[in-house]
Amino acid sequence: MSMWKKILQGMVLAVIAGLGIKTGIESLQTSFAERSNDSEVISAWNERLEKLIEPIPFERGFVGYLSNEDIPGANFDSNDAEGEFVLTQYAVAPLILARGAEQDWVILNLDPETLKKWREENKDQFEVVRSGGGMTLAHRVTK
Amino acid sequence: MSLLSLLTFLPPVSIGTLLLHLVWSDRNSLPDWLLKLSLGAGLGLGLSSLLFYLHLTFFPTSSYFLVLEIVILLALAVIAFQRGKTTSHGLIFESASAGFHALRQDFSPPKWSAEKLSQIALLAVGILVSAVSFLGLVNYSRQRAYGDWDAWMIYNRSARFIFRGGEFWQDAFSPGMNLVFHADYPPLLAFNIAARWRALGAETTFIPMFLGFLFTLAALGACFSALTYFNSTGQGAFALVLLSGAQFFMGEGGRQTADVPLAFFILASIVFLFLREREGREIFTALAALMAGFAAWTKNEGLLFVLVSSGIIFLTALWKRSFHDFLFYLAGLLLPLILLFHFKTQVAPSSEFAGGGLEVLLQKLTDPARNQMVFGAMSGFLLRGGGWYGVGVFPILAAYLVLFKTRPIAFPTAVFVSFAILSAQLIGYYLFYLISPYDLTWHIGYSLNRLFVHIYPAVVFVVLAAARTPESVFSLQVKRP
Repeated sequence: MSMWKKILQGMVLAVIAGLGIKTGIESLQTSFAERSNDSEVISAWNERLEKLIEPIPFERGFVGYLSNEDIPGANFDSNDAEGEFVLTQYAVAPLILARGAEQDWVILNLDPETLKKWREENKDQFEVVRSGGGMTLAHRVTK
Repeated sequence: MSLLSLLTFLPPVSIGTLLLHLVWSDRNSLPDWLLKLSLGAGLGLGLSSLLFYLHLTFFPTSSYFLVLEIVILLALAVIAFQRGKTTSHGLIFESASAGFHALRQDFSPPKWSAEKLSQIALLAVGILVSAVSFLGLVNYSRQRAYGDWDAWMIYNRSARFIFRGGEFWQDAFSPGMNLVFHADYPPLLAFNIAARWRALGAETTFIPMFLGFLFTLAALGACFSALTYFNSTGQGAFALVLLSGAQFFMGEGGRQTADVPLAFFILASIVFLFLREREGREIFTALAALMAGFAAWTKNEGLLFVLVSSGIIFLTALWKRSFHDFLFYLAGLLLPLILLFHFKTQVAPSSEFAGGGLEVLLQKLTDPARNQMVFGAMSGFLLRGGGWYGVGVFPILAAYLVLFKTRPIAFPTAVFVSFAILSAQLIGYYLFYLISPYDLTWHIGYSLNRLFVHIYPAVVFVVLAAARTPESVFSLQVKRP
């Protein structure tokens, strides 16, 4: 192997090692700079749902879920709507969320105006069992 | 809780390490043990999840899984001890003396040659970059204890269903689950998390967090120790720089998703193919297959790895006119694939990729606009992603191989077969994007870098295994033409 090739190889090794150190330090700095409150949000959601679903008399099976996204004409942000649905499913496991109001128990994640309208339209079919943290648990009225 | 959480991983990691020691007991230096530990950690976690699946199937409410693991560990320890006693002074003495011998060799007053100095310097840099990057990963995880979106909505959610569901653990994979939760995804992570939670009797975010750390460290350890074994300590240390210095790879380790575990299993499978060529023992072909099977048990992309690796090894067998290795490969795949087949057909809902029918799939595959979009995105990342100052890490590795390749090339069959497998894996990803049921722009943006994470440690390993060592570059001997 020629001396020049060895020098070139040595330089390549040194440059990559230097860049590796630089990236490692930058990664550490980034991890301090990019703060996240994900853990707090998920923990809070878990606690909120734990209280809300206490009246449900079974531990497995399907529970309905309605958000503004499912109500024609209601305002919603699609990212928030999906995020809240996923957070709710994670929190209520091992219950399975089914979108819509076909189940006997339904979790309502609606803004106050939409909730009021929905309750008026469904007062003969559902009764509100519990509310809290911006969410409502409704149960189908048995006749 | 954090220490207890960590301790629950001790049985599976020790089982994997001891199993590897039993099939490869003639290598006992310190780097050899590090290699056994790194590969054994993944092997143990893979086996543990398969065993937990059987345990759930036959004894869904039993809480004795940890006891079962400890019994298996003790049985393996007794076998290893007996075997060590009959061959020499006993396993512990033999291993310890070999380890101390290696240590003495490594840390005895060095002859201060340029080679030795370069090795020490590279080792220091490798450890520094790994330590700093790992600290960043720990800090990232500290703020996101539940992991990233995919982690908690897919794997940790499944684990929660299994842990809380008792005899109804299969609800985790119910066809009634909304599609967004990907209940059809392979269950290695979910089973490992649920098994540790059962051992603790509580849900804690430390378990998925430590699982992510373990696979990241195992990938670093396997690459470092395998290259130390095949080439030199400097080469192993340089692998640490390339892996830990690539943010797109290390950053994934703290997210708790299945991408780094899959990358580990692909790397481990490739390392065993190299061990097969170096040691000449078929058991390593079977272990390469077992690791490929665990890749499929981890993520759907792992199933693609099983298909492409089996195909390439079959073609190699045709070329060599010997199906000996191919049969060992099939034997190694048997256990994980039988259980995966059972899981996919009896437990999990059907995959969303399977929908649409043949006509729609063909239409997507031949759509010029989709082809152009996928090709542009993948070639863009391949050329510019993951590197420094706009130059991608893969072109850097290609240039490195050209500049540093050995003549004749080391491990020719393993290098050729590995590159063929990894290239076929990328082609498979290209085809998967074409038939994706999702909005293609979103799908590419959301997953592209993670696909390259899957192959990155294996590519680094193969390139460095075929390259001249840093020590030889810094040696003062120059051959005159």
